[in-house]
Order: sequence, then C-alpha cells, then structure tokens
Amino acid sequence: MKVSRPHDVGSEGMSASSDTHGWILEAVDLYELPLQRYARRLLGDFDLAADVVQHAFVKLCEQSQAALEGRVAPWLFRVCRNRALDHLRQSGRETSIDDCDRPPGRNSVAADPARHAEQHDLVGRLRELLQELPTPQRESIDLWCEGFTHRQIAEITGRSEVHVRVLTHRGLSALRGHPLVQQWLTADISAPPASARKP
Amino acid sequence: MTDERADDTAALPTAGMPPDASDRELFEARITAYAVGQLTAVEAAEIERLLADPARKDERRQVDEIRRLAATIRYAPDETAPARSAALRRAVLAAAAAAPQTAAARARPASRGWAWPLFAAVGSLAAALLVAATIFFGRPADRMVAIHDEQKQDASERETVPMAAAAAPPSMPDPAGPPAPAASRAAANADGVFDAAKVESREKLRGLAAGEADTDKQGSQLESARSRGENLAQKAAADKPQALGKLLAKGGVAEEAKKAESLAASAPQAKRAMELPSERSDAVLSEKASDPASYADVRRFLAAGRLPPRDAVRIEELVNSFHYDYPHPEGDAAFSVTVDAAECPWKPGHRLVRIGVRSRDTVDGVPEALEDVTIRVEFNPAEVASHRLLGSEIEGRSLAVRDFHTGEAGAPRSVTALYEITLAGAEAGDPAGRQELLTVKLRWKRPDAEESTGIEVPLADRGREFAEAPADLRFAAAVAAFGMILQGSDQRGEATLPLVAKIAADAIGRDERGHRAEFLDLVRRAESAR
Repeated sequence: MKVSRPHDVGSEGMSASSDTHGWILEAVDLYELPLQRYARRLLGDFDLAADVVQHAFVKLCEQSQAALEGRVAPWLFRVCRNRALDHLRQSGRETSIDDCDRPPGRNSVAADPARHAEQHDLVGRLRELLQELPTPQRESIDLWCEGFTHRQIAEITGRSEVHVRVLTHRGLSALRGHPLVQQWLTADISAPPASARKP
Repeated sequence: MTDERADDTAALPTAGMPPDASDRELFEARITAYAVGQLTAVEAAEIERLLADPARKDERRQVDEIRRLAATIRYAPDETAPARSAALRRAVLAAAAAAPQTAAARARPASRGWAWPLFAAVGSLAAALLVAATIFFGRPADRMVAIHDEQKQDASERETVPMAAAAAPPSMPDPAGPPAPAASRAAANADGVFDAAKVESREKLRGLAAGEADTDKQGSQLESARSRGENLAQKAAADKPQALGKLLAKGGVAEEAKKAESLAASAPQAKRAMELPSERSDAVLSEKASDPASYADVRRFLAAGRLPPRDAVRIEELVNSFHYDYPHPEGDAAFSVTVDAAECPWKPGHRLVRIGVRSRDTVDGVPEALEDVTIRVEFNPAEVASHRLLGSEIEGRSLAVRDFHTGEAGAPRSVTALYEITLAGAEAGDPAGRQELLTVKLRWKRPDAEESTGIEVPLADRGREFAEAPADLRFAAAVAAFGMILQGSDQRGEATLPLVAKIAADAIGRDERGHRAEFLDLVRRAESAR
C-alpha cells in the first residue's frame, strides 16, 4: 500500500517540512489502532469509529506539539471520546456511556459456566464478559489495557482518579466473581490460558 | 447510579469519588489498583506492609487473582483487529499541511517528541555504534589499566566456562528475511564486526524511518539492508580480526578502528556468553557515548506492525531509555550508586543484579564535568561462578554506558546496567550466610582536583525473590527481557512476551509521563508484529 506524501525525504534524515509533521504521523502510527479499538467499543460501529478517530487526528494537527508534550495520547483519546459522545447524543443513546454502574456483588456479568466450560476458550470468553460490563467499568479497563494509567484515564474520561480506580475495581471484581473465571483462577496456575493465544 | 452524565463528562473533569462507594469498597479498590500497578510508591508500600500480615489472606488472594485476570485481559487478542487506514493518513497530511504555521513551527522533530529528557543529547552515529565498553577479567582489583592494550595480553590467560545452554523457547519469527546461521552470527559478533554491519543497516533504518508509512517498501529495503549487514558480518567472521578495523574505518569511524582491532585480537574468548572469574574478577566499564536511537527504532518498527531487525535492538540502550529513581548523590559525591539483586525472572536459579549510577544535578540542569570516570565491578569468586552483562551477549564487552558526566547540556544523568549471575555452588546455601557478591567501585576526578575520589558499594544478596524486588529493577528486567526476545538471543531463557508484559505491568509504578505504559503497548504490538 502506497501512501503519498507531500515531500521527499532523503536518507540523511528528515527534511525540515517532515520534521514539522513527523510527530503527528508518529502519533498516527502509534495510536490509530488503539483509538479505533476504543472508539469502536464506545460506538459499536466501525465506520463511525473511523470518523471519530480521523476527527481526533485532524484536531491534533491544529495543536502545538510543545503544548501537548508527553500527553498526546490522553489528549487524542479525550477528543475521540468527546466526539463519540456527541455521536451518541445525536443518536439518542447519550446515556449509554454512563448510565449503568453498579458495585460488585450484584454481578453484572451473567454466569453461565455450562455454556463455556472449555478452559481454552477463556481468553475469548473474557473479552465477551468484558463487553457485558457496564460501559464506564469496561471503558476504564479498556483504557488501562491500552496502556494508560489511572491518572491518564481520569484525564481522558473527565472522572476523578479515585473514580477510575473504583470503576476498574468493580469491573475486574465482577469478572473475577464469574464462576468460569473463578474456575480458571483456582485451577492449575501452570497453564494460564494466555499462553494458548499466541498465533 | 452514577454521579455524572454524559454531557458533563464530555467537557469537565468531575472531582471526587463515586457517591455509592463504601469505605470497604474504596479499600478494596486500592488493593486492585495495587494489583494493576497503579499506586504511587508510598501507597504501594502501605499495601505491601498490609499484605505481609498473615491474617490478610483474602487480600493477598485478591492481588494474585486480579493480577492474573487483568494481565490475561490486557494481552488477549482483539476480537476484531482494526486495520490501518490510508485515508486517515491522507486526511491527516492534508490537515497538517493546512494547519497554522505557528503550531508546526513550534513542533520539534518527531523523535524528540517522544524522547526522554535523558536523550536530549543524541550522539553521532559513529559514537553510537562503536560501542563502548570493555570488560575484562582476572585483573587485580586495585589496578587501573589501559584497557585495550592489556586486554590483548590477558586474552590467553583467561579461563572460561560456557554457561549451560538453557532450554530456549521457540524463537520469535525472524524480523526480516532468514536468520544468519547462528554460528556465523556468533563469530561475527565475537569479532565485533557486527557493529560495522550495523552501521549500514542503521543508516538504512533511518532512511526508512524518515520515509515512513510504506511498510511494504520498508520490508524489502530492510531485508536487503539486513542481508547486506549479514554478509558483512559473515565475511568478517571468515576474515582475520584485522578486517574489523578496515570495516569500521569504512563505516566512517576510523578513529575507533585501532581500538577495535585490539579488541578483535581478543576475539577467541569473546564468544562466550558468561565468564568464569578466576580469583577476584573485575569488569571494567569504560564509557563512551552511545546512541539512544535503539528504542526509537524499536518503537517505530513496532508501531508499523513490524518486528525490528535484531541488530537494531540494543538492550543496554533499551534499558536506559527509561527513568529510574536513583537517590541524589550524598554530600560532596559526584554520583550515587545503587546496587541490588533478585532472582533472575528468565533463568530460575540465576541472580539478576542491577547497578544504577546517578550523577549530580546542577542548578542549570547541566551535569558536572568530570574527568577519568571509571566504573568497576568486582565479582567475588567465592560467591559468583559466572556473570554476564546484559546487552553484551555479543561477547561480554559491549556495555554502552553513556557518558553522563561530560558536562554537556542534556547529557544523561543516570545509567543502569544489569548483570545475570550464577552463584558458586548449587543454590549456594543460605543466602543470609553469603559474603558480598560483588563490589561496584566508581571513581572520578574533578577538573580542579589533584586526586580522584570514589565510592565503593558492595552487594550483599539476601536471596530476594524477583517479585520482592523494587519496581524499577523489575521494570528494567522486563525491558532487558524484551530486548533479548527481539534479538532472538540464546540467553533469553524462559523470557516470553507474556512474561515481559506481566513483569512490566506489575512494575509500571507511577509512570507520570506514561513511558512505561507505552512500553507495555509495544510489547503487545510485538505479539502481533511480523
């Protein structure tokens, strides 16, 4: 796949004009896929997610690199999230990102051990279970999975750090309490399911 | 119910905590945050004290289970992996071209945007490749020597025992093209010629990095660069060691060629991964500027969904790409030295030793200019059977301790080295009864001083488990293991990407600038890179 570029770059290093855009292209390299994953999980739609991600990067082009030093990623995710919320609001689903968040105990993850008894299915099943969590919990865990700290997640989602901590805890505790997960956690730890997933 | 609505969260941070969280839940949430590496060092220490209480069985179980669960979720493959979009790149380039010049004018070069402060001063390519340091053994502990000359003499006297070859897990797919035959690669490495081969590959890499975005083209160019590098290496392996000097000169690093020739003369013993100390053995680490670009290269390749070429991966540079909290030098000392040890996570039974050196901060942020800075690691043969400096699998001599004492603005202020050690005697008995494993001796001279001064720090290893080690040591170990995996190193033992991810995730600490989180992202990318 060829991608056209507005200028040629020699092997001696980046040209001056490439320097000015290089950090943005590097951000695209680094964060395009994580942003797409995130947006898709918020919106449940590939095309909408692509629009939202593009919007975030276009906005990035208007920013000064110095002003975003060290926090490009949280900034991108935050812009992406706000745009996704706009979409949800327009489509009348605006409450779906924050409407349901219960403490553990009232387990929000349906227990159905008979349906997925096979241990080796667990990793895939975990992803399904995660999708069944209330959106704020799932979002906190997803962002942590993307490599963000709780502080950064707080910055992205506009919540407090303690709130992010509690949401993550609720989500992970709900998963942990699922009978299938418990079965795995208490089984032979020498065979973690993660080892089976590498292609 | 939640305390906030979408239209609030879209714009404003919401202070405070969830109103329905009980004290108990907040406490448990702290434990979970500890398990996923999100507490500050102070908070984490509190939790660790609490977990040490035998009565806290449930909390310990919570930590263990949450950790395993979270790591499994984190590194689970995406259900439907998104694809990169050319349309996005076009749109971004168009937007960037149309963006106000003010934003662009203030932007710094790409690599800088992500670089750590330590890397503000990037060495020249030549300095980068000509690696650094020399380590040798069997030398009286109290003598400083002209390293390169005396090394020749010593070559024949050295006695070595190869490390038992650890059962190596299946190797990563080769990053680009077929791998060099192991033997010729090792031989080339032994001659130090691989560095010369690197010159070409790396120049190519930079060109490619600048070219960006065209991964297919990258692949084929990389392959040819790599195969040329291997040809060089193989050729040199077959030639006399002196070929090294010529090759290096050709690579534009003539000033180093002479030194390199003398190094090459000691090639025969250089093929070993670990060395046996006879009597009291030393490793002398002399510093040279090294190029921190290895991490940037690794990141760039992985960001493009490709594994970096093996020779673009330099463990000592990767390890030193991260910030570690070392104490300020005490009193008048120019440096602080931190030495600690723990179980080696990829080779059970081996010990992993970290040496961290930090120089003094000055008011203007420029490190103090010093002369004759020498770090020496003396291993105690009564305790240490063999040792290996990570990043120097090549032949135990390529430690790139960057010169962090040059007095140049932006020069790095700390440096970290990791050693893998086997103990003398099986398991070496009761750790409490051991003598010191090694002593780090650091000397320096201030320009206006008559004599040099120094500090000596012995390491008394108490047999600490890996999980009990400080987060910085664990994180550095994860980075080193990642480097070994990317290199396809024979020394990687049980190191796997999931293990690296788990160690790093547990050791992420405060990570204020998100660098460690970004590393975790790279590890995950490596799992799906080709």
